[in-house]
Amino acid sequence: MLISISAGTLPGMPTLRAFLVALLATALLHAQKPSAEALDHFETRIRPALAKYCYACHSAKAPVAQGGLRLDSAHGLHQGGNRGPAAPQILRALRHTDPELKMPPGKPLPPEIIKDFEQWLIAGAPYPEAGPANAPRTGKWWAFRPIVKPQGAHTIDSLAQPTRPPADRRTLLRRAYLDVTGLPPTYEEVQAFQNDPSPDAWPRRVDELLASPHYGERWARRWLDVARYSDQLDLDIRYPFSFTYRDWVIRALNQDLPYDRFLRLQLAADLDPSARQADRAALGFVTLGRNYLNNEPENIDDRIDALTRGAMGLTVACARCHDHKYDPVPTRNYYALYGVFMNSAEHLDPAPIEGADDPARKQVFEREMARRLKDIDDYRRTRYEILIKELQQPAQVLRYLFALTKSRALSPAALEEFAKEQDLNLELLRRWLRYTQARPVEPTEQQAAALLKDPANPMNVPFSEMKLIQTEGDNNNLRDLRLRAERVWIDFAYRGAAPRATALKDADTLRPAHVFVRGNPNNKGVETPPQFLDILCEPACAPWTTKGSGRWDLANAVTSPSNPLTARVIVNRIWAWYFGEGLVKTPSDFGARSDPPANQKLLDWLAATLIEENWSLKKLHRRILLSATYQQSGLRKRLDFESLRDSMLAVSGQLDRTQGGLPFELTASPAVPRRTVYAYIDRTRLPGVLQTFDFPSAEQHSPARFTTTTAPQALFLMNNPFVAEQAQALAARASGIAALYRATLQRDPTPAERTAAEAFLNDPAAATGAPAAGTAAASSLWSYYLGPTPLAYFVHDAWQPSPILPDKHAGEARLTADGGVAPDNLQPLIRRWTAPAKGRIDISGVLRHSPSKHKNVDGIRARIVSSRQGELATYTVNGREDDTNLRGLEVEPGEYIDFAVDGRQDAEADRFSWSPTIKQGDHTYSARASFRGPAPKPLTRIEQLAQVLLSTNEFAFID
Amino acid sequence: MTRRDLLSKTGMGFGLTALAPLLAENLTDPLAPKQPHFAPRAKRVLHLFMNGGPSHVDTFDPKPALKKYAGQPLPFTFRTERRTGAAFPSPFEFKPHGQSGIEISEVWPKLAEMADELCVIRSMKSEIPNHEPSLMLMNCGEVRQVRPSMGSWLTYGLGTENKNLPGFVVLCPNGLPVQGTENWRSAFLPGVYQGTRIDTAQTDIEKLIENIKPKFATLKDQRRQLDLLSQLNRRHLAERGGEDQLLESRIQSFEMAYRMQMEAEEAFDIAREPESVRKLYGEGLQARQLLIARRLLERGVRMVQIWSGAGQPWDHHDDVAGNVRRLANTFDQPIAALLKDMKQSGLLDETLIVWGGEFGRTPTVELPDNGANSGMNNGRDHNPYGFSMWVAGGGIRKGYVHGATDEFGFAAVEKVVHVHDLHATLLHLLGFDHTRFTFRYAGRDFRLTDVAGNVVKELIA
Repeated sequence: MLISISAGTLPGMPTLRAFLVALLATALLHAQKPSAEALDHFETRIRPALAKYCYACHSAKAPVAQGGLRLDSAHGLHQGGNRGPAAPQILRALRHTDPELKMPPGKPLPPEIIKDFEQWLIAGAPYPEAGPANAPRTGKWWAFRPIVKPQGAHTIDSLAQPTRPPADRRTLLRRAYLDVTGLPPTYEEVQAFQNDPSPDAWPRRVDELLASPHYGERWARRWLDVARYSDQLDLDIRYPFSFTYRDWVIRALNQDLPYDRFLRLQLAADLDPSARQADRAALGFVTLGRNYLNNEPENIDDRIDALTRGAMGLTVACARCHDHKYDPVPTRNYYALYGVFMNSAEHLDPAPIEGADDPARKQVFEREMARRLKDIDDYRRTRYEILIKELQQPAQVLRYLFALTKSRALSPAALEEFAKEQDLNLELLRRWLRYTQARPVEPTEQQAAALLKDPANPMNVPFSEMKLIQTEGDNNNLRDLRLRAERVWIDFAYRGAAPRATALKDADTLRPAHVFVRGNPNNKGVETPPQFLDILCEPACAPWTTKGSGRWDLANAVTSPSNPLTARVIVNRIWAWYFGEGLVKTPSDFGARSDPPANQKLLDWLAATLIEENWSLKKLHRRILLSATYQQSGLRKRLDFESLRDSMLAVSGQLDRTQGGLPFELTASPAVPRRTVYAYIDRTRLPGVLQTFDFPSAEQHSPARFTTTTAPQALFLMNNPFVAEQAQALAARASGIAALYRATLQRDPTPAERTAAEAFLNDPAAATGAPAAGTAAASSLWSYYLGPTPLAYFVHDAWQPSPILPDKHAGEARLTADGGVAPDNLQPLIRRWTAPAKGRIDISGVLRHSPSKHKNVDGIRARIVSSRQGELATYTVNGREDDTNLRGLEVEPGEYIDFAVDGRQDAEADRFSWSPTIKQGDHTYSARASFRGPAPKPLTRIEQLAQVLLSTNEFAFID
Repeated sequence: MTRRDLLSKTGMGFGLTALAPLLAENLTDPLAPKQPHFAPRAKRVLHLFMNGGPSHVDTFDPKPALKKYAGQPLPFTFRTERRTGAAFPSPFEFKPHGQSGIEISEVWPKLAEMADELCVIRSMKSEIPNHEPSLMLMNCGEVRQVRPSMGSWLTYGLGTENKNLPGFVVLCPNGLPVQGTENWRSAFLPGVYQGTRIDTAQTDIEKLIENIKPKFATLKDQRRQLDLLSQLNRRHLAERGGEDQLLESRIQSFEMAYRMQMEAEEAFDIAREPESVRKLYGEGLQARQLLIARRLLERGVRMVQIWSGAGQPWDHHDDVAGNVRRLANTFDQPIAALLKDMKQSGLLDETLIVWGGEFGRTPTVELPDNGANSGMNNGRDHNPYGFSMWVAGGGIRKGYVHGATDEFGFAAVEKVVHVHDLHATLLHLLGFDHTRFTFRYAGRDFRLTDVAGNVVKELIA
């Protein structure tokens, strides 16, 4: 530090020498008694300047001492902040010569004031303790004060004072069903409730609803918003077992796992002695966030953010590059948590959480995985030999030796910059600096050659550290190879593996965390041992002492009953999910910038009661549901997308109530009638329908959903095949106007509604029929199969055997307009053309198999087979193309020609293109041009009426 | 007791939607046109995104000094993604064009005829020599963290003038660029402000906009359905006191959707353009994209972003000579036509057209590297230190060259314009003080320009 000042910023200044001496002696001098003039100078010039320019951020008055530095006492000055003792840095900061450290921010202070500081420092920076006593700690923000349960007997109603009359029974029951389970009641259930005179009619319904397995499905989805849940890690990278976390959340809520334990397991199930193997899936809360490959700081930031905003309503991530601007969260606290996650390694727990693997698939998995891991190892070994040879050249060593002298004088940030400039490897440069610390070296050829003979020389990078020296090309190649290996897990997960957890474990070797000054990982400040947020301890938190990452302590601190935030935050979230708005309006920010709660007594009473009742969420739900406040009339909210879609499935009778398991593709046609919570969530490409209906971005924690009203939402209801399918199913099960009303809206139509419906059904002007038929006829000649079975699902642009791939039997197999992906075995994937007439045909086409840069790839086999004449041709291609032309073939009407492709022996998902054209007389039948998804089936009048009812506001809103 | 009384008394937002109070306006009509801070010079934006990073020294920034050093090391270089070697002079000739005499490379013969419309910024600066962070910076104003894109900010701030079309349309043929949909994400803004991506290689309207075509009923039947629906919804609303914005706006949304079905198809159908106009734009995918863009802009879409294609078409780590010419050729005539066409109709006066990539390229040749561009020695690496962009249209200074890179084109040295500055300037022209155009999220007021950015006054006419 000192050297950099002398070298860089103050040359030639008359006071320089004296100044340096003074600085070096500061520690010594401050013990000596300062002169009267010096004290006078301090009191008249320095203390006022400190108070005027510095105290706002660096004193007890500041909500948090910025940079960990306090300048309102001698102690603060000498102890310093994140960058170490303050005195040696004050002038540099004041002069604004270091772009990293300009204080006060904005314009530099006038030169005379800076001169005053110079003089003060030269005098040994005396700082008499007299002066104004430290300002008393200003009152803490309400959210950081302990939860105090309001005295006396209270209920929600005594605190909230509902004023509206109660809702009618039908409204109430429908509201509760949708709120608690996300599904509407049936007409019969409404009738039974309306006609139930018993005093416990309502509490009984409430208990039944909370006991329903659908409760967990409904409320898990809300927690998944908080947890930024996604089944997709990044573009083209999927999690094999993300769904086990989703299922764990559903089960935990259904079992009413106490909320503190619910959170604790999500942070530290692996460290909790009372946890079961199945609980490890809970760690998905941490592990399933957005993962920036090779970017540890971003990944950890995401985890800190999801945890602190999600569980505690604190925006701790704001303290990453500087102390939090508004809340008392210093950067040091951020990096204390950073260390916890840095020392927690993510891993796919090889032990299943339940059940056993399919032995046959396991064998395939192990064989393929071994192959692909070997490919990685082979690549690394080959490249390591080359890289190390390049590195261990005297010329290379010389480049580092030449850089040493200049490097020694540089701050960490400047060193990083310098290394970039000189095209040197920063880590190697650091190692050279350490290596040559004790032994002076000359930058000569001989010396370089001699150094290379020492096995301890920094160029002798061991194989285990190859990452340090590999090139960008290596990074790319290795990334590809690793992803290729990861895909074997996906394949296994979807085709017969027992479910597993995307888990965490404490790192084998613990690394100390440091403040990254200004968020720059190459500019390390003070060490930050793991501890909790100071604002939540009195007076400050002590570092955790449990062996390991600190995650167990963190989990306990977050869920401690004395933590004033955790209970308040979840109570507020649940309140907001029932009433449309929280008592605190910003559910993930309880900090000083948020509006204080509209009714803190109520919030605190609910929070305290939650803790008293062993954190039982179901008891909290029950309390809300039984309150007159909840039962008031006039609560209106729109169904979120999940409830809307699930309700349609429920009233159409299509709902598949299977719980848990592999995700399904939301846009598959025909629709998969499972609850929406089980849909595959790709955070990098959220299906359009989810975006349209305000589903939150899963890229980061979501505090709450928006409710927008837009035309594309209406378009979905008008034209999407899902809605048409439900209208058709609904009309099929409920014939007649009354039945439709009962099924959809759980009531009978009014006479006026009946009249309107009858008029609609009987309108002679109605032109029921297909909209423009287009090329439907040509398309109908083509059909698609896997072996003997028609491909049942159309997803995006492909026909495939199951609504999500890999398919259990055929892997990634699918057919598109141009080609597709071959099954990874000998089953044929077939594009079939049925001859419309007798006559000669010519078949033309080009079969292509994309070349693979990987080993052990054997390509595909394609065959042309006639239903009447048997096999006509066979082609085998691997990384090349072949013409598939057959001329002058005689066909009979109804005879079909199969274009069949299989994947041969290897377990590769082989991409191919093959989209033949058939000519018969004047007709040309193009496989590509005729390629279509399922043909839309026009709605009959009654089905159209069903669709109208599914589109009504009454259906889409909860009253 | 009114609902407001109830709210103030109990603190419960019955009927209100989560977060609605945090937004400046009601989300029941999130795309309603809104006024910016002050009178705007332009109303909408067309961003021609040359993804991959076009080489500035081969397009808009002539560097004769490179010829002098051809094949030799430059006196100074900067570290980029990969290793680069000797000076690599442009294989293209530059000539001054128009009254303004702006020097433009021979790869843009037609665009050069419109030189007097352009404001060429030769001193652009980004931060990191990798695509992903630079794309994020150019589109969302932040290198790594999840932030809304400029188009999302604009539709949030200005709404749209035509609710029958999406407010922010992204045209990208045949697949996604690097970083995919993140380039036009709404992040913490409501999803309605997210860019609607359209694969312009498709010609079927159904594949352009989801659910846009009635497939299960004729239009006539659908009209009857909507009439009945409206009747039922009106009665439902009347039973509930007759006043509820959420219910009312959902009723409206069906009518809007019905109109959208027709208008959207028309907007994307370039066959409706007169022969002469189609001829002016020429053949090919880019001509198609630009013509669609113009049709969308004139219909009131707030921002259209055109991508060169999937992946990173301008990422010329090798064969700069062939690749730059080939790609520029696909854009040259359509862009010149678009400028002419929009100028003629007056549309140009109220539209900002922005051309550029996420960064530029090195004036030095990229050295071959295992796994990257093995064996080649005729490309350029990424260069965030200095590059060129141009802007044209409403409020922009015409026929003007702003700033400069050093003698060789490695780094911006004169009147440097950081990406944040460009954003601040564009927002200014659209009527926003970029420091006051904020959204409160996670306890902080976020801006497109983060905590930086200065309006570059010289770019403004």
